[in-house]
Amino acid sequence: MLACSVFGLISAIPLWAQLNEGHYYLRKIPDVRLVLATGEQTTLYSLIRSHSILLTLFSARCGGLCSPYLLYLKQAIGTTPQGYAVVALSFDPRDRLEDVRATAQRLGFTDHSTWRWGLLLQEHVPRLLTALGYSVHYDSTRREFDHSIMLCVLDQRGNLLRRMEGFQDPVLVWDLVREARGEFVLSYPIPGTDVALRCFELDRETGHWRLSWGMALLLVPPISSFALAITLQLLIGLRRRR
Amino acid sequence: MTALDRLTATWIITVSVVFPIAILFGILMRLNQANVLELSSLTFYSLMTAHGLLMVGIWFVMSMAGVSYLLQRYVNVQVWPATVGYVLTLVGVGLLLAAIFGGDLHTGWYFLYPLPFYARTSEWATLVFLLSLGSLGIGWFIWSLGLLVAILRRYPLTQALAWQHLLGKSTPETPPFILITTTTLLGLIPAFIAAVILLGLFLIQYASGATQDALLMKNLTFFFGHTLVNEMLYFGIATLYELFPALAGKQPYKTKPFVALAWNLVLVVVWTAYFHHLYMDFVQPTVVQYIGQLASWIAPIPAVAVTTFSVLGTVYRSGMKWWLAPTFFFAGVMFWIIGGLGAILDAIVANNFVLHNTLWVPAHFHTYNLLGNVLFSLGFITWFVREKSGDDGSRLYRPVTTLYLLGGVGFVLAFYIAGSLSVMRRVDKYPAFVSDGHLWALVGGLFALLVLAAVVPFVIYVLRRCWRVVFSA
Repeated sequence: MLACSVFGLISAIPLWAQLNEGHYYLRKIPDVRLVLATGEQTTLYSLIRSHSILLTLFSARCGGLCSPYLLYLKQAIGTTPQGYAVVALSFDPRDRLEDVRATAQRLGFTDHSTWRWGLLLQEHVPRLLTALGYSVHYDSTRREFDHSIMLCVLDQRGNLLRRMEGFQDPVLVWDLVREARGEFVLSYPIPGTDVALRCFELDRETGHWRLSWGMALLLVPPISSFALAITLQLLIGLRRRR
Repeated sequence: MTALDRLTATWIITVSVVFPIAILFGILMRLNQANVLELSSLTFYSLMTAHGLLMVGIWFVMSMAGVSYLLQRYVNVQVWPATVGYVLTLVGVGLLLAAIFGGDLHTGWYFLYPLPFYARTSEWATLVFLLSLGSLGIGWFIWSLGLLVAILRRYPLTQALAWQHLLGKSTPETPPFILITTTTLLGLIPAFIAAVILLGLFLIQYASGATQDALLMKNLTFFFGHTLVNEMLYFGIATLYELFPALAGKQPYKTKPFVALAWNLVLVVVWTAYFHHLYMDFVQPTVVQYIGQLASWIAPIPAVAVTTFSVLGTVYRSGMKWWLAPTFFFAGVMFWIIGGLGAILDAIVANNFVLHNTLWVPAHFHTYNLLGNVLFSLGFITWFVREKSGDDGSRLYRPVTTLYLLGGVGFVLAFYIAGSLSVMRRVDKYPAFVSDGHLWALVGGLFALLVLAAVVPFVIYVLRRCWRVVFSA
């Protein structure tokens, strides 16, 4: 039921906002304050000082997708990141450090040196969520948050490099890992409905592409040139005959 | 003096005034990269945009003005299309400078999408920049069309393209100047049409906010930009084919079948060579990348090979009297080969992965522009000045050629060496770990000062004589 409501929420986000990763690309993420599960008070930027990070948000009290999503990330990424760090932060104002630790333990993260678990300071939560495009809505009847599930990559300057919503093919999750490691990862906006002329179209189901009218448009200039020259030639010939 | 004499002299004056200013912009950029100056990033990129667009613009119009003037030897050239071209060029350049220095437009000369919407501090700069592009494009399109009509009135299209020579017939004869000018004009017109489409898409986004396909916009930008830069070189070559044999005291060149084949090949292939600018765009279909690779080899080789052998054959045992014009033409061809080779090396996919974002790129395009195309136009200018004033600038010959060539070679060499050391391009300040960048920027800047020292007296010499042409009875 809750899963339906979460997916419903995601699908309610305008199509362009979901697909247009470029909308968030290189967006500067604020340096918010947080408390790590170890009790250490720190800031987001101090976590990215030595590595790029994969960042995800959760609520320890979430009875819906948070736990399955964190488990899915654990399976896809593993527990011992190398060349990058994984940071999971609670955005829920009701969560305490004990809740965050309990969530980590329940999911099998007993060693604090693997993923970094923490709690956002409440006054900083809205700024971070807005910057990440992370939607949260409190449902008072269920006393639960309807919220996005999302993984993103932040570079060492606090720029958002990648952002992925929902459960996706683990291959795509690894694209984020490679990005965090500083590898060159190919990316291109998925065709939306807001661009009239594209060089090619991508079939999102099969992954196949085909040439489109944009590419055909590139033939117009040379063809026009010959057509123009021939027309001029004919007009000059006609005029000469008259 | 005829109206065309005056218009040509006006073009020369305009270009001669802008040239040292644009050089100065370049020197300021290099000295900033050398940490001798401290320009703000915004100032640096504004100067980079102005330097690139002005240099491409003035030497394109100058090469076309030279061709327009020489074309009257064969056909009846009407002055009004060139006059429209001149007026709209002035309007376009005025708007462009307003956008750059008034609205802080700093897109670089490629103005790659979507930079014109972001790389400025005032929103109006985007619209003014697009209007300037429109003014330049329309002016040059009308001028090109005027020249094409003038040729077609005398030579049918197939004859203008020398197809009868391709079939082995020697009559009717198509002079090489007509062949090269026709292929260049037919090559240019699609570039202007691409610019019109590009401009339309930019304006649609400006008016409605609808985004465009970045890949399509980049393809259109380079269809326009790369083709324009190549064709202006070919205009320079046309001028050389027309004037160089006479300067060596030899008979005019004839259009042989291999010459006709080379230039007809250039006409078609030059439209696809620009694909090499998109090697890094992995979404471009792979087959297109192969076409770009092949076209990059095919496009320059016939023209360069035919021209080089023709020029060397002309000079050999000619007893050529070397003065400014033949020296400029000869040096221009030699450096065109070197710059072309640098460009072909960069246009090989495997090399491009290493060289693409390094100073190797400005190295090769400055070689075939500063030491190639510009020299072809300077050759025409000195020839024109001698025709109209009788003064061949003999007093300037040694200092100007020595300073220009020495300065030019040192300047591009600094780019080549820095490029081979992987120093990045398009940055206002090099990070500490790119210490080679500072050194070679300083070397380049100092050699560029030599070029400026050569250009200033040359410009004064040209201005004084062309002024008289414009205001003669």
